[in-house]
Amino acid sequence: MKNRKINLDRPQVDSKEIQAGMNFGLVMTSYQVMSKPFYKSNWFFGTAGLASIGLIVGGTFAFQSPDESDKLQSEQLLSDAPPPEVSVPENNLLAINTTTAPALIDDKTVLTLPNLTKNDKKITPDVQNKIEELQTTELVEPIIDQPQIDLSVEKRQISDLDLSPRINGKFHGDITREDLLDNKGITTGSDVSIIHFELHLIDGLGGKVFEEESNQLNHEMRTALTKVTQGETIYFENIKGKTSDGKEVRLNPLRYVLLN
Amino acid sequence: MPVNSIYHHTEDRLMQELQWIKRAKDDPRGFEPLYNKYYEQIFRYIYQRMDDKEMAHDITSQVFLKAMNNIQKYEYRGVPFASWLYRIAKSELYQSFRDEKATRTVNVDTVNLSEMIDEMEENFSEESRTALLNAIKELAEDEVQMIELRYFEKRSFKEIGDILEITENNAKVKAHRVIQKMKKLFNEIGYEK
Repeated sequence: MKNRKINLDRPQVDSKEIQAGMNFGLVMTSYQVMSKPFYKSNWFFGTAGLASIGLIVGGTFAFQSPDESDKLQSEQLLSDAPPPEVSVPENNLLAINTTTAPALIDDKTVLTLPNLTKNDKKITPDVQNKIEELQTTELVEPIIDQPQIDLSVEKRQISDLDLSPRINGKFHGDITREDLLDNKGITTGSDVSIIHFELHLIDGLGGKVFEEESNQLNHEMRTALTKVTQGETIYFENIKGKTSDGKEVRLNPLRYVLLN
Repeated sequence: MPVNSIYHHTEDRLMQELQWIKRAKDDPRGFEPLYNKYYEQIFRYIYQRMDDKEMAHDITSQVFLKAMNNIQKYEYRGVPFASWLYRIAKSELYQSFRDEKATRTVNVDTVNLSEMIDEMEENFSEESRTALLNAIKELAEDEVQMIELRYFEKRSFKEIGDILEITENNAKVKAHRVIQKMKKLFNEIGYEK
């Protein structure tokens, strides 16, 4: 670290000025934020609550028929009663199958034909020809409007989540020694590869920092971790990754409590 | 040579401090007396090594936050609580240099320089002062740390040993070696620049 600056006779800082910068309340707040488990925090309850409500409302709407034509369709499928007579304009006829299964005409109209025979007196020759023609027609899949889903938004959300580094699938909280020493090292769910990280260990005699230029714990780190006991906190900081297009990104730090 | 009076506790003050630590282990709010007592010391240690006052306050807060998070691990083994804080401060400080959040700065005052020149058995002059500053620029980081702790901050070898995690004797030996190296640089490089 030779690029150091040398100041000669810099004025001393006044004690009052230093004391003005003291703020134990702020340190305490940061401590509470850091020490509170995520599942006890307000944002977790808020997010989980909103997600649950969203699921319930979404589920209710998804299983409810949106309009009367769908209701009619369901009733006709379930009922043994003869279907209502429907006049079919020739130019609107899309598909009719050979059984009593419904076919879709126009956007909304459902046409169901009974098992008609040539001996049926109500059928005129024109209709009879049409029926014969249609009886030979292969079943055509009804045209159903598929709801348009904006996949790009969903994809982006997954991508953001997958940028978070993890060890053996764990983002933070308690971790076993086996999980911690897992030879997959620090990974992400996306195509970001970890190129640098630091292991911070604080023991009864002070703090130690180990650096590594890959995603794997090195020998020195592993040796230091053998001395860490159950319940101690392990910090992974300054985690840097490289995207597939060569861009370097800085990722969130990791904090674990050793379980065994 | 003067020593840091805050560092050397009486038995009563030490016992009081241990009680504070015990209270802080039970309840994080009990950390406040320790924060109030050591904030200025730790701030000065950090600000002495950088040039940004706001950043020095931030790092000091970070030191106390880490200390609070790890207070359960602190055990009194003859090493004062301040030394434990200094070690965390040193770790946080060098982290900020690595992250390029702050620039490593060596703050020197003329009085300390003249004392150092005396110890090197040289005569104090404008030229020798410039030569000494040039020599400091050539030192390795651990050597600069030793110079700062011993000659600019006037810490005892015991305290230097506690902060740098070496023995008191080792601190003495290292300080002596740094002075020898300074002498050599002072004569070889110093006057040339």
